[in-house]
Amino acid sequence: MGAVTYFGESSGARVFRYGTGLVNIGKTIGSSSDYQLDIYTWDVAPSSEVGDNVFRSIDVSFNCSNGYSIGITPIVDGVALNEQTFNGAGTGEQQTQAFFAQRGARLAARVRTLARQGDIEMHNVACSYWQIRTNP
Amino acid sequence: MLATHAFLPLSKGAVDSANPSLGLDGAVRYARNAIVSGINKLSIRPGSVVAITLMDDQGTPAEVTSVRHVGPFADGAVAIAYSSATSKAYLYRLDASLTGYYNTSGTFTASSTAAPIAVIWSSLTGVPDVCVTEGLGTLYIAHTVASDANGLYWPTKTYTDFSSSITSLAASGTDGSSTGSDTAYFNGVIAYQQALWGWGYGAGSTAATGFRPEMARFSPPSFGNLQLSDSITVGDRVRSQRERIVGAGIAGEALILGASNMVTQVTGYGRDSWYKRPLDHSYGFVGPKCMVSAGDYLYYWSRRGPMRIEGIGDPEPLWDAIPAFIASVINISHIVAAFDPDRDQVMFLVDTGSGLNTICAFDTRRNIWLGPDSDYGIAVACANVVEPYTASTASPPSGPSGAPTTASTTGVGQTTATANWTAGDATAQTEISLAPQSTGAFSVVTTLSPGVSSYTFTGLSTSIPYEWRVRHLLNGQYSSYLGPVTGSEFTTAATTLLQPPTGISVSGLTLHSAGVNWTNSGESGVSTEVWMSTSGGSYGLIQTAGVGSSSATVTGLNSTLTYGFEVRHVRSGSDPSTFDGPVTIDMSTGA
Repeated sequence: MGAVTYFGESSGARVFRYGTGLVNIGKTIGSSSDYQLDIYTWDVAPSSEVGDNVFRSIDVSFNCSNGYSIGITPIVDGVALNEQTFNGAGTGEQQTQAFFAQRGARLAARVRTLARQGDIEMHNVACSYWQIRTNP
Repeated sequence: MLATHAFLPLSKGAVDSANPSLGLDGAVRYARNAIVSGINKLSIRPGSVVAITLMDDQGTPAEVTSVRHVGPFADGAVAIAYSSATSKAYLYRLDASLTGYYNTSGTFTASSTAAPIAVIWSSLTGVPDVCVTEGLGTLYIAHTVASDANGLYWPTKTYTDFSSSITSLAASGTDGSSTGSDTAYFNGVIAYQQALWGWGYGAGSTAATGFRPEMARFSPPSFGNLQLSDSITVGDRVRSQRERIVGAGIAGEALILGASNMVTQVTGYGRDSWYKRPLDHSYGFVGPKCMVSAGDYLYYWSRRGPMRIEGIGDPEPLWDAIPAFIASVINISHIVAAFDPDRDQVMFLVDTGSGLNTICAFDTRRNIWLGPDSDYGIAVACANVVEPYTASTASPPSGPSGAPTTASTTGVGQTTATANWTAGDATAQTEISLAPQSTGAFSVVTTLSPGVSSYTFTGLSTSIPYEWRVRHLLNGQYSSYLGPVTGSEFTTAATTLLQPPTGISVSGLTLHSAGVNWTNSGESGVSTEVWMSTSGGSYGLIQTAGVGSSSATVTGLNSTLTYGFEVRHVRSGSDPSTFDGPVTIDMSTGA
């Protein structure tokens, strides 16, 4: 057993052990007190800042301990497209692909978990695209 | 051709509107509720559970108002909490996993609530911010409530002996004196280079005595009162309230002292003074708990935002990566910093307004910020890391297999009574306690050897209702109590004063003997004591006449002396009667 981090409550008598369980005991967000992962990436511009591409997919790989429910949002030239959701059961390594077709220069992604029955470990976020024009 | 590009590496980015700089193409911009869990891996932050709840010292314990410290000590942990209901600050000794608490005898009780082991301050006028450190196996505690001039305490013995009362260290006087107008308050303590350092300020109201942000130190083995020593001060300005030392921490080989607007580095003791170097003359520490040591660094929150210092280096800004988040932080004096060695992250627990209390974490191995996490939801007053010790693989010793049963009380007299029970575990000792009925004020009478199932109380008061209770003790663990129940309640007998004999007289004189006669009072079963005085001396018992007897012959008298006689009735279980007599006889005259 390694070191354990404890928090002491300022307005109460409880001592909290940090780093175990799934929930945030202090706050309910919406109808859930679960912690949810929420990742934004910086943009990629595969054909330079003024080049042109047709972006085709956001590809995500991750490991889950008890099923998953994640949302993937492509962001092209700073504009978010519709979020696509993916759900599944089981454990182990998983891959999801959010397909879309949008022309642009820059692409970013938002990946988040929507519900949590276990732990999620994010391994890779990638994209695919057709290169139309590079500049320079 | 369809091409691909990875938004990676996940562990390369900064978060929360960080300056992208160069080389962050596609890296993580924002990772809420995430921790770096390995090379190029991000995981969801885990949750929390309630480990233990701290209670006050009242007859019916209530939850305390605020937890002020929790942290490691020796092979376990200690906690300090404040109760506004009792105006006291309590010390708790806990196991490393916070699954229970110890009492002053070192007995561990597994429980989700903890009782204090000591009261460290009473009559507090406000919530104390406490500073705790450990030196040479001794716990040192300081606090910042100025109403208690005895601001620095420590148990007088090592951690294994919490049964001793907590004793004040340096009750007053930053100059080392125990009296005088320059009474000092100590806000914190820290162990550095085999010396205990305390920092505080003068409490006087004049420029000469007040607001003195002096550092004091002392060294083992004397462990005497804190001495002013060589007047280590922050920067080069003293006697200014603004430069009062707020906190201190260790960065590698250096001791870092933080005032509100200054940071000073102490690096060691030279020929006759401590070496110090001002590091920052503008931005110091924002609060007493805003700093934490991690490796060779000290991380702290300044009024510009988070900073760190490595050993004898200069302050290095960390705030430039998260300007938007820093702008949302309020009540910066309440910031709590902690280091989680399992996840290599320094956590700052901050108030971001609207009831949100947020964690923002800095990954010290990869030099990136994570978060801010959406919210923690609870205002945190303290945070620390406890390293559980490795427990033996052997099964823990077991407690009593059962509690005592079947209480009864026999032989109730005026001052005695015998408690009887059936042992629930014949191998366990039995602790027996007694109290006046309905008071709950039980006091332990004794602890009996294993197998003993009765005990006779003595020295009781007459006509008083008592109740007793017993519990077994084995391997430092207690069973539940037997009692108080009907069988363990009793009332001692009332005082019964016997009626005295009457008509004492002397007859049947000879040269060396006399007969003493009296009339019995009619009390049943009484004997009669005959007391004698020689030549006006004090009376003493010379013989006891049997039940029903009304005379006694006294022999061995001197024919030239004067004797006095008196008699009284006695009976087992009753108080003796008053004396009848005295009657005197002069043996030389027979009168």
